[in-house]
Amino acid sequence: MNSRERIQSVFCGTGPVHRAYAMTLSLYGARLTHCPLSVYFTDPHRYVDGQGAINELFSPDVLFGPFAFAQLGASFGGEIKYFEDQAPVLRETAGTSMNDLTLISIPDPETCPYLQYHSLAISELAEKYGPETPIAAILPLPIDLPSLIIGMDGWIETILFDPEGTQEVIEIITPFLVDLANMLYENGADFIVSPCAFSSPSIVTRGIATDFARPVLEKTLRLLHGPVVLHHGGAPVLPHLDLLTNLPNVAGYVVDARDNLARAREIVGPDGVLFSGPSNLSLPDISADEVARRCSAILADRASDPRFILCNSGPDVPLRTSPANIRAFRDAARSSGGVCQ
Amino acid sequence: MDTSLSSLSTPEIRCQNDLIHAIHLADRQTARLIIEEWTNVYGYEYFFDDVMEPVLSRLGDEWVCQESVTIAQVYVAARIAEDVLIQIASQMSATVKPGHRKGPVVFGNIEDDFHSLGRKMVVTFLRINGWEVIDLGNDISPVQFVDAAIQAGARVIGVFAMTLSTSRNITHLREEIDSRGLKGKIQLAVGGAVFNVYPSLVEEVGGDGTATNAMSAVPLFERLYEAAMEESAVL
Repeated sequence: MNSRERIQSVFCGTGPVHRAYAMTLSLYGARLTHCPLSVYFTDPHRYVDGQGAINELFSPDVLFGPFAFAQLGASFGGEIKYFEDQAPVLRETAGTSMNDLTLISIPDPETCPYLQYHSLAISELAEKYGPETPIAAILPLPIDLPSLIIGMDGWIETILFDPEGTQEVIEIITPFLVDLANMLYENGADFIVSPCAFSSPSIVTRGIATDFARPVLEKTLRLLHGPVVLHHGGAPVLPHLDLLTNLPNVAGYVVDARDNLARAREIVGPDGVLFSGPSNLSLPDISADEVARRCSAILADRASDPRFILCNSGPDVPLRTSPANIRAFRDAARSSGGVCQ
Repeated sequence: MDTSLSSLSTPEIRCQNDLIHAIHLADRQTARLIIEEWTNVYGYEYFFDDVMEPVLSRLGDEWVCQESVTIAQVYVAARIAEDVLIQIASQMSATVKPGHRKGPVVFGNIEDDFHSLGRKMVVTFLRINGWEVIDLGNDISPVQFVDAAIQAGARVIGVFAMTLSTSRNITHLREEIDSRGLKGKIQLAVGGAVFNVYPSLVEEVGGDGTATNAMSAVPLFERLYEAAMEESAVL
């Protein structure tokens, strides 16, 4: 059984012989190929070389496209900064307010270099590794993208105090994101992972998540040509997880390491794929034995759950994580013995 | 709103409860109406001390004890407090509570860190509480921090970092302070989500203290400012 068949069996609920694992190793490929991050996150071929090394060394069950949201902000006119040890960030956003956003020209996914980088990387990944391994793109949704264009404070200010402006912004950026996402599906992405920061209980109230986030997600996700996995965005998601259920094209949920998985399963129901695992923030600082222990405990908790995939809970695995810890993660999944019937 | 509780309370406590309820809903408009209703009867003179400060304090306690306050709620609380200060200023021709001006302190995000929302919220709460804050912005080098503090006569530097990798750059700021012979005379407050996840990081990067949220930064700065003044007196 190859990774594609394994992931398919999880999505179908039939349960693989042994557990699938999906670590976000977008950044880590640069370490394996000794590629400077300013090159890795601008040259799609070098990115794919890095993912090839990931595939060879760790055999993950999912390969990820670039996790570099700063480039989306840069495509709207923001200023990007590259680092030696982390993904790029925005030095400056293109604007600071809702009014700025309405004046910014919307980039064309097919011609903007920052966006072409993503689509070419996905296309090449799919061509080289897609037949054996599912390819996931990582993309924000309209509830979050404006924070990359006008900053977190500009967007939260708009959401809180300017409902008409919020609606205007969503109407501007939704077609852009839908076109970009559908281009990524067309280029070979099997699914898209999208964080949902502006529906997170750590960021917004339940009222905002209900009245703002969910309707926007419902409208946007319906227009996508492939499945989406919604990500907790860096904080426990359970108090608002029910608001993310029964949305069109949502195939699964990545929940935080602090979330109770049994409760998460109750909320999402039997059909949604659940992803979770140890926090990646701690991965560089713990031993391989400890990684194995944490992964095994989570897998034991989900022993009878056929739609569970072990992953790192959080953003990209940090560069200084030792390869032994990543192998320990994989080996915990491989040796778990599959799903108890 | 718990009306049965409100009926047993003083007007100040009723107003506090109503305001907290509005903030929980991130409802700034309702909060404005509550404040207007209260100040129409009692005026603005004691509003900040009797209502706003207890509200912010209770919200801060909630965040520490229950981790239940969202960023949106804190943002709304800050904006409501700003609204109140603007009203007080227009009534009393002052931008802060008279006799409460403190500082100055210098604040900014460490080199390579561009996550400004948390910093801005802390700066807002410090200013609301009468602190003069020199906000240097994002991506500030250790030399820039210390130069600005010396130039302004600041006794506390507040430095913000969002991620683990950028938080480690704060060690260079610690070294810059110490290498200029300012250890203790200028105190280093560190903050950002990563310090809540890894409390041991405060000591690791050389911080003199931290706060888990924007509202509890105020007592932290008061404590560090006093410590810096005592250190200078000893020396």
